[in-house]
Amino acid sequence: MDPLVEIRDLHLEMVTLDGVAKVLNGVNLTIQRGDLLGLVGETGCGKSVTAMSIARLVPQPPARYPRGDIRFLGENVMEKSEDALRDLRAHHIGVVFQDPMTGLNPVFTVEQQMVDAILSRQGALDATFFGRKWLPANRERRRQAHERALQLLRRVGIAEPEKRIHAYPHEFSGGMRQRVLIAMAISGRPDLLIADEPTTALDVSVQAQILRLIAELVREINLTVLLITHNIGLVAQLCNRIAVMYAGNVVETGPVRRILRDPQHPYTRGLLEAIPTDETTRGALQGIAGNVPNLYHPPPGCRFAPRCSFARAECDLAVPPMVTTAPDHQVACVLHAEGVESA
Amino acid sequence: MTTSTSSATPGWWARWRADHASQLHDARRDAYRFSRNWLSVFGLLIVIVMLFVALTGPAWVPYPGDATGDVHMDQRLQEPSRTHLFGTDDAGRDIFTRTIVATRTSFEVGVIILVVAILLGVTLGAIAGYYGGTTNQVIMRVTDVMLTFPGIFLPMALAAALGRGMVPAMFALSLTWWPGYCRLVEAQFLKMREDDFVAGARAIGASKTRVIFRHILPNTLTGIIVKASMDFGFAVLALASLGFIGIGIQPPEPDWGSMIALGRRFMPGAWWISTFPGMFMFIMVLGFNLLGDGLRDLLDPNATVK
Amino acid sequence: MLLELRNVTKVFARRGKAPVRAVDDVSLSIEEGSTFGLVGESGSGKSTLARMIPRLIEPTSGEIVFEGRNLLHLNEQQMNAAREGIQIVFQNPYSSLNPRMTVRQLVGEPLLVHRKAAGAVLDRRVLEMMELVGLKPEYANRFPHEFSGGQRQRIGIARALILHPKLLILDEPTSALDVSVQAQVLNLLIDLQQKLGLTYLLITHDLGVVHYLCDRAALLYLGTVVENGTLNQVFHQPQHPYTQALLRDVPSADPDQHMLDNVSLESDIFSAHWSGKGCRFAPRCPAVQVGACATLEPPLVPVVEGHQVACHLVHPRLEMNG
Repeated sequence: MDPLVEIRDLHLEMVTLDGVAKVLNGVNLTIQRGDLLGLVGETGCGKSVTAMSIARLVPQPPARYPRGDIRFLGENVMEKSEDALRDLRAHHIGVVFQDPMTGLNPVFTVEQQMVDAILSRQGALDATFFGRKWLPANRERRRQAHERALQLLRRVGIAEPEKRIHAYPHEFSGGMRQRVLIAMAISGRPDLLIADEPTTALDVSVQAQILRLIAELVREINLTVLLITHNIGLVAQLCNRIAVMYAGNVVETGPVRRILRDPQHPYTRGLLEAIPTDETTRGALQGIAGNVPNLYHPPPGCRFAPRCSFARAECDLAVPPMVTTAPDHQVACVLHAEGVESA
Repeated sequence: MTTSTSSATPGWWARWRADHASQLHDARRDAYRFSRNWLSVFGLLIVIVMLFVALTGPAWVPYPGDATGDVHMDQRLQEPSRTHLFGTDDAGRDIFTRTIVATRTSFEVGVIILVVAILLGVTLGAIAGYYGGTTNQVIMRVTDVMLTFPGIFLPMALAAALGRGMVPAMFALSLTWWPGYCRLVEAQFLKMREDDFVAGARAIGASKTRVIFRHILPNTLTGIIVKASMDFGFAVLALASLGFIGIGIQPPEPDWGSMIALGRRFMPGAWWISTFPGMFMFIMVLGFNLLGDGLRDLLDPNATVK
Repeated sequence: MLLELRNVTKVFARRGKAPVRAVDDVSLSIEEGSTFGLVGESGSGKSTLARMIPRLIEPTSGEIVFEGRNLLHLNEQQMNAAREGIQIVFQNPYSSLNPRMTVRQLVGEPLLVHRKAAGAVLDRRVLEMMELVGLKPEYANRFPHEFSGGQRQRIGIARALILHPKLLILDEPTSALDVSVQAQVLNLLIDLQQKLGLTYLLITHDLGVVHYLCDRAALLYLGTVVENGTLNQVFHQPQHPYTQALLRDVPSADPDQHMLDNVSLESDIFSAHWSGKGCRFAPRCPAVQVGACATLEPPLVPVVEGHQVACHLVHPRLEMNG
């Protein structure tokens, strides 16, 4: 079956006052329909920018894509026209951003924002807040959008939506705001939901509720989810596949259970060993020595090599290609290209 | 070690540069960003030229006596010529000389006004902003009252009380300007008081004085610098306005404002009497405004977005 | 006991609305040389409590006894001097360092403030401290914005430790850091505790970090302590429903845990308001019962030696039971 999203050898550069940052260094990623893919990595690895590129939400300039492409449902996103992009964002992709505080406009009620979001996706711009709301045809459209908004709010678990919908964002808690954002994101019945750190600012129990909501939505409306996070626990509980990124490359990808039980890439191993659980003995936690590379002057070859305890001379020559070591398990590391068992 | 008899401490320059590498790097970067805006650079050039004129002018003006009281009634109202670049006024004094000397006076007075205003305003603003409560109310209400006076009114009233002259004018203008700095600094203090790095300073046991002067105040400097650079032009303008109505700098000391006022009677015939001082004033104010704008774009990240 | 909090309370007045009891009658003790974890989520009052100990925020009532002295009886000068013994590392490494001071100035300032050293002696001690926390000497002349989050946190730790305090309060020291950097900083903290004989009060919402560092832990909910015990007691025999819910709802990195099938709490702290009467957790508690839970605030009472819980279900009020 054709994948929903296919990213091939994507390179992204950011032009800034300090020079050109080589943010993405040949990202390869595939998302199949029905996947719940967790894209994990630490600060600066490029996970957000990769996901935003799928909907071409990264402003160009200062960004530019010297190489590679992204295909959504087989079509090249980089070459789409403005209209095609709008259609993509309205009907095929929904995005939930990280910060529920700023994701909603504080001076409009939730009702106004949701109705506008729904109408914009339909292309009925004339009926939105700044359009000619009063025309009878538009009034009818707004009424229907309002009904849909209530339906969505109920679906994401907000009790008594008829009352709450007329409140302002600051009257909602963080968890509820996030639910509203999810409602708005799925209002266009998208194929793909991109959630960028959707629970970082939330309490643990609320986080668990939101995760469960996403899991339910996946089952009910056949949603494919790309979850961006640095919290591997979230991925372990929610996702079926995981992709690990480091400094602009995907270094390992595969089913969640396999990767978490038997990580192959040295970085993935280091990352997992750094997580304190209730089985970690005091003093046994292993960090990863060194710092993330300078994106303005990145190392040639594998970008993890300077910190890797298994690095060899050939690691500095070129970025290691993704190699399949087991069905659906791919690693970008020379240690596995030859089938060498790393200690 | 190698010894060099030419420099006292070999390598101190290199060491200083190493120690301040970060600041130098940031300064170079700022200079680059500043230079991208040609208007700001233009403003900076104007200010540098004006400064040069102010500092050195009285040394090379052709008729220095004309600025200190000489009159030459036989040379009145002469058009601009090679001997009198900007012409002469109704007392035969060379306008070029007087305009240049007035530049220095304007700078001097401007600097003094702003320094006094800043010292007073920043101190009061820091106290009001840090302590809050009644102290804040008292200081800020006084500030509010001062700000309700229209610009010229206060100096005029003070001149009526204290007499004409440069010193009363400086005093009056300082009083007009300090409330602006007080408000600026108070607002910043109120905000920064809650910041983590201030809590950190208090946590290590720093006294209130230290927290105010060593921690919060340096972080308000950029705002003060930007405001001061834009204010300078207006301070000079205000001084000239006072001169225009006869308060402030008294004859025979030259002052742009009084020179312009003087030349009014002779417009449009002897147009040069008012025009040249006016142009200088315009250029000075423009230069500081452009410079201030450029500094604000550079230093204040919240202001404009390109 | 190095530090004892007795009935510490902080009430914030609000204009036109009921006052907020951010910290309400909190009592706990910390032994010298130990690491005490204070666990809380949004609204728990943990940061307020942390800042009350060095009196960055003034308590409304209660006692804060450090090395036998009640800190609340000290005047401003005495308190400034006392702060030599209690230091705090803040959560946000991006805002807690003065952006206009170099590393040397930041780390050395405590020595200047307390007149312990100056000039060359100060420089030497600054460099020693920097080395101890893993910062290279050439970083001394740089500014905070040139460093990564982990390095900034090290600067904060160096600054807090240069006076060799007895007690170090760590307010979410690694929450803003990546996991691999967090591991380094946590190990550094363990190392420093051994070398310098420090006592830690660790404030966090991350149970994994608590388990890694702490000897004892207390859970804070809406300003009160709901459970307090040794690490083993709290993690393996949690008595309070909130503790149990928290332990269950943390997403485990073990995919076989299937956490999502059993999400414990349905609401959040904001929509399930506390009315001001009875147990604060009652509106959300999965085990809530009619009677005492809604009318009486449960007191903090021992279950076994050293393990205290504030819950009616663990200590039923006899009057309510038939």
